[in-house]
Amino acid sequence: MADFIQLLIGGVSMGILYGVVAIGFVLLWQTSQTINFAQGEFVMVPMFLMVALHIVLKIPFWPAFILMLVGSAILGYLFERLMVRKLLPGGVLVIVIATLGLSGFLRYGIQIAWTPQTLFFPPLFSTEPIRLSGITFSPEDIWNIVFISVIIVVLHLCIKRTKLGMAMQAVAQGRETAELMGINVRHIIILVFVLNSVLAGTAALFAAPIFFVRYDIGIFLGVKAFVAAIIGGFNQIRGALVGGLTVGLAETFAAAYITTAYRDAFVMILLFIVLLIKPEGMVGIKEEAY
Amino acid sequence: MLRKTLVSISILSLLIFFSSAPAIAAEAVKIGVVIEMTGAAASLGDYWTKGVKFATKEINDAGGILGRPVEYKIFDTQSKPPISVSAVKKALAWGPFALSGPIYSSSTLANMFLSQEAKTPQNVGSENWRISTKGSKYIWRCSTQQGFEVPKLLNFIMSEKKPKAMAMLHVNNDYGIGAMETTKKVLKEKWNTELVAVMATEQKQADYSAELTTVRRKNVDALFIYFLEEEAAIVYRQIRKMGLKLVVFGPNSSISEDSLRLGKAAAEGVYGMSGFEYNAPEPNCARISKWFKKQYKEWPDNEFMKGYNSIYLVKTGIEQTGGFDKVKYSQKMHDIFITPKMQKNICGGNLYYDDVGDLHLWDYLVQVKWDGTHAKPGIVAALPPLKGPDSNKKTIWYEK
Amino acid sequence: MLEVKNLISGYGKSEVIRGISLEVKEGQIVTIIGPNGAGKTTFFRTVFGFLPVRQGEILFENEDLTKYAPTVRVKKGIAMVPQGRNVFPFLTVLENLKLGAYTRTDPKEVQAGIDLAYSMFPVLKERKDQQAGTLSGGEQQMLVIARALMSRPKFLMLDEPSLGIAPFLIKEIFRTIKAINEEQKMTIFLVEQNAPVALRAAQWGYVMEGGQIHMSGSAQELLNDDRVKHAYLGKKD
Repeated sequence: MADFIQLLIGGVSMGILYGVVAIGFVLLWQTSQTINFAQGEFVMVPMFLMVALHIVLKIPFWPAFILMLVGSAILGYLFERLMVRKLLPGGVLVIVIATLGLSGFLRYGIQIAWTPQTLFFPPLFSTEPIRLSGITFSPEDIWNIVFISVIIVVLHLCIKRTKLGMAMQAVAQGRETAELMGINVRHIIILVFVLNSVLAGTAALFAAPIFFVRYDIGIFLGVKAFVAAIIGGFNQIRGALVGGLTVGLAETFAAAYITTAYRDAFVMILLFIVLLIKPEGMVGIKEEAY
Repeated sequence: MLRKTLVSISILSLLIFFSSAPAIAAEAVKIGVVIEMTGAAASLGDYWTKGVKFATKEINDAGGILGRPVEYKIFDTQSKPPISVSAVKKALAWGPFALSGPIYSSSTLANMFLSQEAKTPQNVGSENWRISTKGSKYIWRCSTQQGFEVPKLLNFIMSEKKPKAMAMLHVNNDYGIGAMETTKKVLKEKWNTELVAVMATEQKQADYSAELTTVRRKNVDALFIYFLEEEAAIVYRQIRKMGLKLVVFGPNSSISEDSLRLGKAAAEGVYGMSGFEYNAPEPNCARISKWFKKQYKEWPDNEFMKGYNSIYLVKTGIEQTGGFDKVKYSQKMHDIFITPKMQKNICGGNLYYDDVGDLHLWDYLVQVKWDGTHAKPGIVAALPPLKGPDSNKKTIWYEK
Repeated sequence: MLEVKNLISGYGKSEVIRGISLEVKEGQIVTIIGPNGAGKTTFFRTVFGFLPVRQGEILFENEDLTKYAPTVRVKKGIAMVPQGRNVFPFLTVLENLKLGAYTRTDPKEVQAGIDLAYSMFPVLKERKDQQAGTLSGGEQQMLVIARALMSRPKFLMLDEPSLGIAPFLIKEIFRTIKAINEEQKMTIFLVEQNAPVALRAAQWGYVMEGGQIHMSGSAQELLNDDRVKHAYLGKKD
């Protein structure tokens, strides 16, 4: 039982990170039919930005964090303005190929312009173990789970309860109809791209001490989050979250109870099963319902 | 005004002429550096190429090899074995005297037949034991291979730490699997014991809670970690976060500068072994490490020394044969005892190359120390090589 | 109120609207009738701004609209109910209504609008917390009309409000349309295939065929016109 809870903590703390990155996939897909294969790099770049501001330039944590979010927002804005807006009329495939290119550009750009080395990032919370009847956990794991959960809940409330959030949902459910309401769809789409990159920037802060800061971490995170979004449901924010947790837990439990060697293979098997049985994802909605 | 311009132009052209003059004067000794510039091992490849660059500069400043300058060209393997094959092909098409790299064992195993066919010396950073069984006369290692490293390391752990239950985590590629095979064999044959758990992990894995939960369940008191640098650092953090108290040990990657820089306090107490340490009592390692620290504001990883040596090995071979015949080079460089007297700049003290190109040298046993800001390798002992003239020497203890 | 002069527009290479001029007077209900494929919907989409104008002018209260995006036209007081019941399917009825008031800022006015919508279509009040996608076709049509009224438009455009709706509901919807026109002094511009219903509600009508206006006149005149009777009113009336 103690082992089970131990694994649960491990799986959830990874899964929630996958989930928060996967939410970005959902946001972009819903509002602008964009599949962003550079999503992982949208986490990687803020990581390096944070290192540059906080560790290299020695700016105190909070101002550095805010500047990093501003930088992320600019990245998201430029992504929409210079790439998506121009290429979207060409269809999803064009966007997919372009974002794959962008992913490589950002990755090797960082490698060449800065470093191929993995950089250290100090932990945000204590990593001293706390023991509780056979279970050992660190404040880092618990606080990561708590903070990311809070961020997701706040995001959820903003989308469900605020006027802008409603407008985002409206754009996702019917772009032209949203325009009939007087909603400026362009602005909303930009807002969503900025929101996505700010969210990715926040995820970067939590991920940096755990994964360290490396130029190719985006591939790992991007693939995991993409799989999570498909497993959970590409058209639902809660789908992304459910998918992320499923991937995190499946990896951990497969490694613990079956074999450590092919943990990624189990996630892929899970992906196939979901695609066969419920192609819209675990909590996704069938697109035909529109 | 005109005069000024004329003067500057003539000075400039003179400068260009003189700076490029030596390169034109003699045909260069070309070395193809086939290395991990991108991909999972890019960080290691970066250290390696810095070593290559420094050695080349040093040699050229001192007049080159038999009067000829060294020229190198980099071919990226992207840390992928299939790409490394085409990289070696491209490098060979360039017409080099020798190759330097790659580091990844899987890559070397995939591409080494090419250097063998082309009869071109290849100095690799790989440590998988299988490489030496392929019968190539054109492969030389730049560090101790697993078949000799693992017994030395286990010898120390078994006799000094006397663990009751040992487990092993290894990365699921040729590097990690090779070490796992050697470990099982050595434990069985020499110590008549077994690992209580063996777990293969994915490259780039970020969460080890499943593996460490098993380690805890099986009451493991000594954990052998055979990972690459980043993964080693990540697992140190998680061992600490789970509050596990056990002896952790591993190969040179687990105590190399990259692991320590990332692992910080969590790396404290980890044991490892390496032929090259920046703070080892060996003057050449210390000298080039100081240069590195001055240049890049940090201590080098041992891949830097390995890359550096990969160039000096070529210099040694050419000088020992007195010419540029690759076949003679290959004959000369097997069963050779390279001492600082023979090659004054080479790192690692006395280096013995046996008949299959395996390197035997004194390895340093290291335990990581934490001084509150930096994790540093603390030299515990120098372990003599298992083969060659120094193999009958005794372990030198620095602290016990 | 709305004046269209020599309008040309279309999709890609094809020209669908081929020189249309018409006028909608303030306070009236004006209808365009015509067969399927006449270009009625294309015309509406051009007027609202979803399609670019290739040539011609669209004047609303003597101001040229062509330079404005659809969202600006909403702020100018134009609302459109497009063909095909475009509700936001995963939002509730109430959320749909609130989105209709997106351009309005005063929460009191928004609430008043919601109350008015409920009084016009009591069924919407019963279903207010239900997802709009689960409503019946007629209920969705009511919701879409009510939602369009939430922005308090001066000028309401309705594209085929009767399409695919049960006959008894069609009557109710047109009764409501007339009521809106009379009670709120709202100008209404509608296109319909169901010519008799539309002409009975309207004061003025246009007949569109092949992207051009073939005939115009008071609704009464058109109802009595033989050609119109023959082509659009059929025998059942």
